[in-house]
Amino acid sequence: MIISLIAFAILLGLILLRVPIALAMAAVGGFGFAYLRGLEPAWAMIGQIAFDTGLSYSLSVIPLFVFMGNVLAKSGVAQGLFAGANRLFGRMPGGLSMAAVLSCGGFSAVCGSSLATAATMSKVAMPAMRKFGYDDRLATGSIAAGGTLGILIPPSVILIIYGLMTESNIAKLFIAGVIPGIIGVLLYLVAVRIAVALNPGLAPPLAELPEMTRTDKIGVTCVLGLFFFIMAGIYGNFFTPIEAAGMGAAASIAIAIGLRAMSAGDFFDAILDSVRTTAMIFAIIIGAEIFTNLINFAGLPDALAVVVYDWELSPWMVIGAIILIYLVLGCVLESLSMVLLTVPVFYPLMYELQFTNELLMDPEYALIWFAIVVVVATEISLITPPVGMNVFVLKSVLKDVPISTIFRGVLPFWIADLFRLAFIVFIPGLSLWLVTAM
Amino acid sequence: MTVQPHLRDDGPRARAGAILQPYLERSLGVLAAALLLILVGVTCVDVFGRYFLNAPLNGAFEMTEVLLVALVFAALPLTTERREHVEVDLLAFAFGPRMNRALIAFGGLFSAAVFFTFAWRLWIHSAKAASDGAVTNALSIPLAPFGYAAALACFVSALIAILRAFILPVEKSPTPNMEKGTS
Repeated sequence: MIISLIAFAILLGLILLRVPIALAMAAVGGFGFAYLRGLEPAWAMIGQIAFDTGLSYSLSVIPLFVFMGNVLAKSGVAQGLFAGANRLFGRMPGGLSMAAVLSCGGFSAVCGSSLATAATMSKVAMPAMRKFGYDDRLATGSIAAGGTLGILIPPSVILIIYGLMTESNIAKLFIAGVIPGIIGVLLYLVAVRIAVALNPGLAPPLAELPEMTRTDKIGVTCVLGLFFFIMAGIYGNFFTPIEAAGMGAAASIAIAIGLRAMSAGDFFDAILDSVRTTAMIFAIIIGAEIFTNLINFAGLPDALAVVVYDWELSPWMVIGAIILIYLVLGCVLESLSMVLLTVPVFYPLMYELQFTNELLMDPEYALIWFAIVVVVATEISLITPPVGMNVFVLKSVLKDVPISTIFRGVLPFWIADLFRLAFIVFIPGLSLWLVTAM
Repeated sequence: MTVQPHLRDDGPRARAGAILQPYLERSLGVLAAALLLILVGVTCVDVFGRYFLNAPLNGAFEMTEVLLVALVFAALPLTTERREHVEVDLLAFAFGPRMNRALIAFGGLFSAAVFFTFAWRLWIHSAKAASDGAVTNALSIPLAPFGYAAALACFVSALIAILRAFILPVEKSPTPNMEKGTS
């Protein structure tokens, strides 16, 4: 346990010194393993893990889902989604912000990356909100927060990786994310309404409603169609969740070609973006696996189980402590590294905790529920000061908005997220109802 | 997190750093792009073949695996060249420009050391795979060449990381590298 904690401390130190997270994890994990087991096993492990991770069939979803999101981001469908959501909320106070939230949720349903969603939607929704005199706080806050919806709403790369780490069923994880994702959208919409009710100056009423063009309508149809194509494919057993990524990527190329909004140059850029992101993600996965090997060998998960058992901690105390750790870690780490580093430590506890909830007594369900809890906690950390990642993405796209403005704008959504986390933690049925109904 | 306030660099050093990018994108970039498109193709042919022609693609599983390993390592130098490995510059605002330069140099050299280690271990791993005659199950694709290629890619990445420790890339777009994260 001591060795694990020292390893974590060194890792955090290196990360704060701007060493890339992936390489810091690999180095600390490698040296720690060498210290415990000797140099030869450590060397052998490094080569083995690096190669086998690249050779992993299930991880092929990463380049494919990333590619799908990048192609869609350049295909112009996001514009259509925003226009469609606009029609829906019409002249309601804060309507444009609500439309931004809803279209973020919709886009992320086919994108799988919260950061890509925030970056794409800011280009689409921000100009409209500015044009109609929306306060920058509300405008940026709704996009930064809306972007976080992407990790939970399927397809979700993080849920796939969670599934691989814990050997949970990926199709079940996806379906478990649906209701909490919808709750997230609804709570965000409520947050907009309350924020605007408290301070009507945030969102002046619209003079005229922008019309939806034909391209916009086609865009909406394409996104909805793609989402149902993927879900129907997975749950109708036409293809596996892994194959869904390849099918989705092909479908998104078809959409982009059909809409004629993407040039050949854009397409090549989207591919290059995707392969670079893939290498970046795999570096993190490889680093995390090496580090996790050290942690497991040092016996941290067992030690934690013993602590829980000896101190007779109640399940809710344990879950509460874990959530607190996520919120704190979220200040330093990005979401994928956070999940990769922590889930291997915490998930064995789901077998140990004495839940009184009927659903959670089954470890398989407890693991699925825990996945949703982890992902929502991670989402919150994406917009929590001082380093909410989505906030920084927006800041880099919208250079003239001060970072403090975005953080203030995110506050109502952050509060909404805490409510959502509480709902999901205390009502496991929200995550598990669709799973049991499957 | 990757907003690097002290690091806008448009001087001659930065221009020198930009030379590499077009070459890498035209070589490894094109290769990786082709691999990604083939990866999409393999899944589609497999699924369509299974339902409509009653003939799934033989060995699609293994093809996906080796395509993926080739893709990941072909792309690694590209990611490294643009400094797109996720790093946390939480303290960048607190440090001065000189301190940030020093930290970037440290991070770059640290990364290079890790990449060299990966290159070396992957090479040895592949040599072992070659002497064992390790091949995939169904299609008997030899694994060693992929391992050697991965080792070379790590080696190239290490060299690039050393370069990037001292010469920053010219930013093509203002969006930081986090944009394409997975979360």
